[in-house]
Amino acid sequence: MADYTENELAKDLENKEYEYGFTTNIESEKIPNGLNEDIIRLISSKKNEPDWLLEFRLKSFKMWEQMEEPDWAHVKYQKPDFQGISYYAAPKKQKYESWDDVDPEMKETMSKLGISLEEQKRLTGVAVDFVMDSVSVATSFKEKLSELGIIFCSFSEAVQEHPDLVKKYLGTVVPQSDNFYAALNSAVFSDGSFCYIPKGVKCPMELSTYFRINEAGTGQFERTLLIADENAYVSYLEGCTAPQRDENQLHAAVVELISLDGAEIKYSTVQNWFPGDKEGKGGVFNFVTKRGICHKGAKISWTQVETGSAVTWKYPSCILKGDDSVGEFYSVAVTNNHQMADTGTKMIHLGKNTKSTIISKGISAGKSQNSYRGLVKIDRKADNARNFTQCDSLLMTDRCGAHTFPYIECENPTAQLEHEATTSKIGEDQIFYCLQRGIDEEKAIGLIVNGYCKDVLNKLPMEFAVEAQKLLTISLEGSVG
Amino acid sequence: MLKIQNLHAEIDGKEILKGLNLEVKAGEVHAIMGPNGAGKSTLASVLAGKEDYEITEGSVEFEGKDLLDMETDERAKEGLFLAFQYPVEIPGVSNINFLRTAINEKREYLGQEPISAKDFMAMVRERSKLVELDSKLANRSVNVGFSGGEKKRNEIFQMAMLEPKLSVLDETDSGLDIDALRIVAKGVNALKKEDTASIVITHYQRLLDYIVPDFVHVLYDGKIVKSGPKELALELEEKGYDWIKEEVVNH
Amino acid sequence: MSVAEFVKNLKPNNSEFGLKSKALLEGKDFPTTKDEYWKYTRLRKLTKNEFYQKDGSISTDLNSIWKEDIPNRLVVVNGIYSPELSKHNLNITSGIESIAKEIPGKDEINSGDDQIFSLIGKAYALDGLKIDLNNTKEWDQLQIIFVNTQNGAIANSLIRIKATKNANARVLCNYVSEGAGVGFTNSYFNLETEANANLELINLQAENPNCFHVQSVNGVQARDSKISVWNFSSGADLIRNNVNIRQDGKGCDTHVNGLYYGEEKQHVDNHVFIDHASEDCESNELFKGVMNGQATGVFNGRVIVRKDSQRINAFQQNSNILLSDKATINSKPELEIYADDVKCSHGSVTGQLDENALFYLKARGISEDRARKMLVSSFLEEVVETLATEELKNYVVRQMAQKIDLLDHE
Repeated sequence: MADYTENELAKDLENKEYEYGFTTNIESEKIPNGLNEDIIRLISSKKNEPDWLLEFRLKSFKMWEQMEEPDWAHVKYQKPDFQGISYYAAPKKQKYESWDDVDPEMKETMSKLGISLEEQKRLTGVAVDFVMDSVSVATSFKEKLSELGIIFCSFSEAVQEHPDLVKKYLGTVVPQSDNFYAALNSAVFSDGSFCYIPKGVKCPMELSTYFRINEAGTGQFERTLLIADENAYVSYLEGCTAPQRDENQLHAAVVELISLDGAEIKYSTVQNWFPGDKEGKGGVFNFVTKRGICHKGAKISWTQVETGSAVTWKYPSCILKGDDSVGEFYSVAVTNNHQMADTGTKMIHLGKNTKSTIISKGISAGKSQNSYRGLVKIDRKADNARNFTQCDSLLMTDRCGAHTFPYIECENPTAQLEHEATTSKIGEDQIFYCLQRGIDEEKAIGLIVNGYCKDVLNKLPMEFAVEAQKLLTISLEGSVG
Repeated sequence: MLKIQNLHAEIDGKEILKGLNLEVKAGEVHAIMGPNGAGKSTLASVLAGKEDYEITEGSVEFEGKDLLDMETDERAKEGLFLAFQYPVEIPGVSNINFLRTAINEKREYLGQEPISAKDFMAMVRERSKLVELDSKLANRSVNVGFSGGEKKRNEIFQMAMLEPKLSVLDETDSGLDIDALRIVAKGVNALKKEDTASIVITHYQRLLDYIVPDFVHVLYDGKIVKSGPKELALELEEKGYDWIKEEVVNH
Repeated sequence: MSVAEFVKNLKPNNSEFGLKSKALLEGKDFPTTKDEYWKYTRLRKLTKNEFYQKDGSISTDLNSIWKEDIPNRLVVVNGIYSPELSKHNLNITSGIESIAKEIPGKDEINSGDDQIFSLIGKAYALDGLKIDLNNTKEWDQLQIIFVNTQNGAIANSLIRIKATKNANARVLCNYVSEGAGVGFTNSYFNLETEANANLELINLQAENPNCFHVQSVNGVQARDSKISVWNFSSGADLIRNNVNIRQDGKGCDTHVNGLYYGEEKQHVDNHVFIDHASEDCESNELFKGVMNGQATGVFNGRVIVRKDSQRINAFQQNSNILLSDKATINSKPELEIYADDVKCSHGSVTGQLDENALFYLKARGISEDRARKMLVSSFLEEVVETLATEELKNYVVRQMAQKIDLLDHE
C-alpha cells in the first residue's frame, strides 16, 4: 500500500489536468513588449491618469531600475526577462454599463471559473470584481453597496472617482521602494480593486475579486487598496487562475490594507494560478507583496490557500502599529510536481498589547520545494506583545522538500512568544487505520490532509471553504505518499 | 467463516507466526491468549493486512475468499473489523465524517446507495449509547484527546456502526479499569449475532469473565499449542503460562 | 572591513593548510549583517581593535579551575600549548606539524557560512594540538584551560580531537583571560568520531568583559557514533559559537546544548548546523538563554536532512528570558528537509520570569533577589541536567556562578 501511495498516487496526480487551463478568445489590446519611461507614460495615458499618479509611477520605475531581483528565497527559477513582457493587455471593450453588456465569451470564462456573476447576484450575495489581464472587467452589486457608502470598484475607476482616497493611502503600507517586485508593480500596475468601508459600517456581504491572466506574453500587475475606516468591518475574497501556457507568466501584485482604529479586515485568498505541467514547464511566477497596517484596536486576518503557481514568493504581513491591535495569518500551501513556494508572513509588533497568531500548514508532494519563512518582530516599545506560531510541514514523497525558516526578534522583556514547528511524513498508521475501516487509500489521504489543514480551512468564509477543500483534494489527489 | 491454515509470517526477517491453524465459524467467540511475544498482535495485524509483515507460507480463507489476496480496505469492506490495541489519532477529522466515509465506502463496494444523513445520525445516536460514548465525542477528531478508555469504547462504537462479520479485538482490555472493561464487554456482547463471529485476543483472563468465549486457544511461539473450552482461561490465570511452555518443550 | 587589515600584525604559520586558508581569505571582508549567517551580529566592536600574537607567562590561579577528578590537564596560553603547566598520560602531540595531515585548508563542513574565523585560525595559529582518545574500557577525561593574556592578544588555537573506534572521551575546555586591554580568543576544533565512539566536548566560556570569543567546532561522525557539545557562555563582550556537525554514517547521534547569559552590552551568538547526511540518525539541540542589561542573544539552529537520509529524528529547542527592557533576543531555528521519513520539530519560546512564581516565593518570605536567582537557575537547570555526571553538573554551575550573579549554586 505504501507503494501505491508513493508511486501510483503520485502518477495519478501528475496526470491531473489543470482545470482552469483554457484561454478565452476575446479581442484584446496589448501594448508592445518592454519597459521604459515611454511605456509607463503610455499606460498612464491610456488610463487617463492624473499627473500625481504618473509621477508615482515614474518615481517607482527609477527606484526599480536601481534594484536587484532578490535571491534569498528558497526557490530556483529562470529570472524573467523584464523587457520581454507586455505590461498592459486589456479586453478591448473596457467599460460595461450593465451586466448585459459583458462580452459573452467573458461571461463564459467566468462561469467556467465557477463565478458566474449572474448566479452570484441571485444567490450568494457576494459582490464580485473581475480582473482579467490587469483590467477590471465587471463589478457587481455596486449600487447596493453604495447605499451604505461602501466604495467597491476597479482601481482605475477609483483613481477617477475617488482620487483623494487613493492619493492619501496609495503606497503608505507598501512603499514603492519596498522591494523589487513592489517597485515594478508601482511603476506599471494597470488595474486592480479598490475598496473603502466608511466609519462604523459592517459590510453586509463578502467582497470578492477574481483575477485571471488570459493573454499570452503578458504579466499581471494588479494593485489592491482596501481601507476600513474606524470600526468598519469587511471580509474580502480573492481568487486567481490562469490559462495553461508553456511559458512562464509573471504576476507581481501589491495589496495594501489599512485597518483604522477599531476596524477589522478579513482577507482570504485562494490562489490557483497555473502551476506548470508535470515536467515543470510553464506556470505563473507569483511574486506578491501583501501588507496591512493595523491602527488602534484594529485587526487584520490573512487566510490563504495556495495551490497554484510555478514559483510563489509571498508574505502577507501585518504592521501592528496601534495599541491592542491584532494580526493573524492562516495559510495552507500545497506544492506538487516541480512547484516551489517560499511563503509566510511578517508580524511587526509596534503597539502595546498587540497580538498575533500564525498557523501555517505546508504540504509538499512530487519534486516540489515548500518553505515557510516568517518574521515575528517585537519592537522595544511593544509592551505585552503576544505571538503564537505553529507551522507544520507534511511530506508526501521522498523527492520533495519542506523547509522552515522562522525569524524571531524580540526587544521587549514583557513579550510572550511561542513558536512550534513540526515536519513529518504523512502518518502510515493513520492511513492503515482508515484502510482497516474500509476507506481506500486516496480517500484516506484526502481525509487526513483536509483534517491536517482544518484549522486554516475553518477560517475561510463558507463560499471559499468548499472551493478550497475541493482544490486541496484536486491538488493532492494521488500526490500523496 | 475464517480458516487459517499453517500460517507463517515474519517481520524484518524474523519469523513470528510459525504455522498457525485456526478455524472460526459463524456465531462463535474465540479467545486467543498467550504470553508476551507469542505473536498475538502479529496475528491481528496479519489478518488486517498490515504491510510490515510478510506471509511466507500458509493460507487464510474468509467467507470462502482468499483473505491474503485482498487489500486492507477490501478486507474491511468484506466485513473484517480490527479493534486496535492502540487506536490511531487523526487530527482535524471528525469521528462523524470518518465513520460516514467508511460506511459509504463499504456501501458503494456492496453496490448500495449512500446512507442518508438522517439515518446516519439516528444510527450514531443509537449505537453510541451502546458503549456509553458521550455524543460530543462523535463530533471530536478521531481519537484526539480521548482517554484510554474512551479510545477503546470508540473502537467498539465503530464496530457497532460498521457491522462487521468478523471482529478481531486486539487486547481491547489492556489498560482499562474495571468500569470501562464492563462497558466495552457489554457493547461486544450486544453486537453478538448468529451470523457474526469474534476473535478476542487478550493477555488477561478477566475480560473473559465478561465476554464468554466458546473456545480458548493458547498461542505460544507463533503456534496455537493448546485449545479448550472457556475453563482453560481460568486454568491459565491460575497457573500462568509456564506450564504451557513446559508442556511444549516436553513434547 | 577587510580581513587583510585585521591580520596585518599577524604572522602566518605557512603550513600547507595555513597557506590554503590564507589564500581563501585574500580580498575578503568581514561579514556584515546583510550576510544571512551574521544577520544579528555586528563584528565592528571586535574588528576595530588591533591584535598581536603574544606569548607570555600567566598569573591565573589554575587550581581554582581544575576539576579535581580529571587526571589529564593541558594549558594553552594565547593559543600556544604550555607543556610546563600541563600533565597527562594520553596520546597528545603539539605543534602545527602535528595536525598538518588532519586539518583541511578549507572548511570540512559546508554550513553555508564562510567561516572566516576558522580560516583566520588556520592561517595564523602558531601551534596546534593533536589528541587521539582511544579508551574503550572507560571514559578518557581531559581538561584544557585556554588562557588569553589580553593586552591585545589574539589566541588562535587549533585542536584536533579524534575518538577512535568504540572509544569514550570527555573533554572539558575552560576559557579564561587575565590582564588589561582587549583579548581575542579564536579557537578552532576539528572533531572526528570513528565507529561507535562517544565524544563529549564541554566548553565553559568565561573570559573578561573586554574580550572577544569565537569558537568554531567542526565535527564529522562515523556510523553509530555520538558527539555531544555543550557551550556554557558567560563572560566576554562578544561570543560567537559555530558548531557544525556532519553525520557521515548510519545510526549517529548528535547533541548540541547551550546555556548563555548576557548583561551590559554583551552579545552572545550561537550558530549550530547539523548535517544529516546519513540514514537512521538523531540530533537534539537545547539552548537556553537569559538576557539582562542591554545584552543581545542570538540562536540560529539549522538542521538539514539530505535527500535519502531517511528515518531521521531531529529536535531543536530554544528558550529565552528577557530580564531587562533593553535586552534583545533573536531566534532562528531552521529546518531544511529533503527526505520524507523524518520526525523533525523545533520550538522557540521567549518570555520573562513568571511573575506569579516570583510573587509566590516572596510571599513565603524569600527576598526578591533571592527569588529571581531561584527562578533563573531553575530555568537554566534543564541544560545543566543534560551533562553526564553529578560532579560535572556541580562543577559547571560553580564555575558559571562566578560570572553570573543570578545563578544559584547553593
